[in-house]
Amino acid sequence: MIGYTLRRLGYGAVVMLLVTVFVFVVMRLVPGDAVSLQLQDTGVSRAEADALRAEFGLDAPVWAQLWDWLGNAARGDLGVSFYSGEPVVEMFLARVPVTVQLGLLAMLVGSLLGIALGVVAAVTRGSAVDGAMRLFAVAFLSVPNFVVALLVLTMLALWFAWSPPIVYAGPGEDFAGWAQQIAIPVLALGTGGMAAVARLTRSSMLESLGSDYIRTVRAKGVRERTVVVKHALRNSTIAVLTLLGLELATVLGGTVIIEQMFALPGTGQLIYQAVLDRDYPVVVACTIFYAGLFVITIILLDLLYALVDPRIRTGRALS
Amino acid sequence: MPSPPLLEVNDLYVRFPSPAGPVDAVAGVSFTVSAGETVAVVGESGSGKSVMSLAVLGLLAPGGSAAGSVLLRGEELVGADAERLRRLRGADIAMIFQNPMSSLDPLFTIGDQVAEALRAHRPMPRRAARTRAVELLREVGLPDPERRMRAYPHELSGGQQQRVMVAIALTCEPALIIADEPTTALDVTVEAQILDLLRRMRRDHGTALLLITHDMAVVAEMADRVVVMYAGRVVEHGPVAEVLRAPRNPYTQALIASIPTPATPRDRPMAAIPGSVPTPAAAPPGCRFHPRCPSAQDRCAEEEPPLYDLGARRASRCWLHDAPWAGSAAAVGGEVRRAG
Repeated sequence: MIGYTLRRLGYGAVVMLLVTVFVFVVMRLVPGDAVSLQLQDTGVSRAEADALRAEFGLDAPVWAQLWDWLGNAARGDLGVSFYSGEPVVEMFLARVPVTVQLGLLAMLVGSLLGIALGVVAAVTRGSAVDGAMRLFAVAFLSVPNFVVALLVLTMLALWFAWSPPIVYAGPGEDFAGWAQQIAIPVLALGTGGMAAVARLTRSSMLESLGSDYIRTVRAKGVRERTVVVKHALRNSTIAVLTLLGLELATVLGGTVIIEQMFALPGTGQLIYQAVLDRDYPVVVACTIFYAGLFVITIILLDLLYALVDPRIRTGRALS
Repeated sequence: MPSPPLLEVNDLYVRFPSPAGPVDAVAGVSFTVSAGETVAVVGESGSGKSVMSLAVLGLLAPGGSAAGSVLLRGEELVGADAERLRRLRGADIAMIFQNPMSSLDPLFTIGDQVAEALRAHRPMPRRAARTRAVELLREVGLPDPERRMRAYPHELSGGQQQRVMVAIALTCEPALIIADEPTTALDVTVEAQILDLLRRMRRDHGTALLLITHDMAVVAEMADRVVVMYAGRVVEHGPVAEVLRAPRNPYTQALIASIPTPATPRDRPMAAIPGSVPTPAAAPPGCRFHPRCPSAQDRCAEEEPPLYDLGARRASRCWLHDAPWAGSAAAVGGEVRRAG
């Protein structure tokens, strides 16, 4: 189990390094840099622009910039924004909580509601509830999250003349305001995952409920609720965990658009603006954050598999 | 009059929906099992014997429905409410299945799964349930039971898993154990061990056994009485020794003829019944066996024979037992035949 954990962590570190190098290089290959974008209409001379580039360290070869950046990053210095001059670490830390709240809540809504709906649908297979659930699942799977968000916003505005507050306040400062502000983004981000999780839960529950071991549990005279929750659901968890890992990628990607739409000051909004501005240090830091969040989740999921399934724990599925 | 039988199955039908309309996988099966008795239900794959055993426990797959009557000590089980059936399963009637490898939940330890069967019927502290589980595992001959309690199903061999299934079946000392092909998935040596274990359980606990099998050798070794099923119908039943020595129904005769013995010449192909069991949806008119029957007459294709009571607790479903064919019936062994 310890070997398993260490190996997962090792893979994670390698992935993080590759992502860093990739983003670092690719951003510099995109035409136009921060200096040319900043100064394009100001009529400054080429010499002045070059001086500015030298100040940002953009005149050195890419591999040298990368080497410098890695050295600084190892010391906890992610550079300063080319625009505001603020240290990237500070900009970043101010915005992480928003994205983490948003992502976590969306994942929670998606997984818990999705699993619950899937179980209900599987247990009531063929009923009206099951049919309605499947219909909604297809609808939510097919509609992109930002469209869901727009629809919800529009309907609330039209029918109730209500729209969420625009200026963001943390849950500590103004909980009610925060809740109003974040509810729609969370739903928009979570419903797609919810539909996918519900569908998968339903089908793997049905497979499990029809299996030989469930028949044994029933033949023992165990209560149906125990059959469903303890045995069938737990056996369905493995497939659902895999899906949740993939779902996280969708949710994180979704934060970029959704934060922009709802004026939520999170990393999604930050990375969006930074890419437009070619603000390299910020883009790299944000990308690493997203990749890191993803890698950590995948590792946690791998550990969860092992926790749920003894066959993985004892190493048969490790090779 | 002897006391009422432990299990009395009367005119049991099991119906499944199909695209072509409902079909009867089990069509009017009747037999009884007395306390402590071993009854074998034998037939090829597709004869409806497994479905019949699941119907007794109310464990039919979704869509399947049972009609007719299953009496356990006089209590009707067909149509009984779900909670009553649940209380009965494991406690009064336990079941052992064909594939031990897939019949245990892969995510729980052996100890958990045995203890769960106990606690489903007798509220008891976890510790007491585990102590009893160890005893049961020892009784079924699982080596090192204390350590095996913490093992997961995949860490056990097929034979060991089936021993665990037997232990689970025994937890509440049921009056009847239904064993559905309990040794089909096992090696021959392991098969002998498991059959031995079942015999010992029957002797030590006085448990009645309803043994579902397709293997006549197992029937000969284990059962007191045998019920032969074909395509959802009982075609012959009677005491094992007599049925095996002098089978009266052409289907039973063919089944017995297909058992290889040491005397079977090696250079001759093994005897087999040509063709296969029709699916319930494609059951032929008349006698369901007639397309494969060596003794088939014109009448067999038109009209299904009743189950003739042959006396001495024997019965067979064949027109050969009917008076007009008395002459040809001699070929089947020719004894008393009374329509009924």
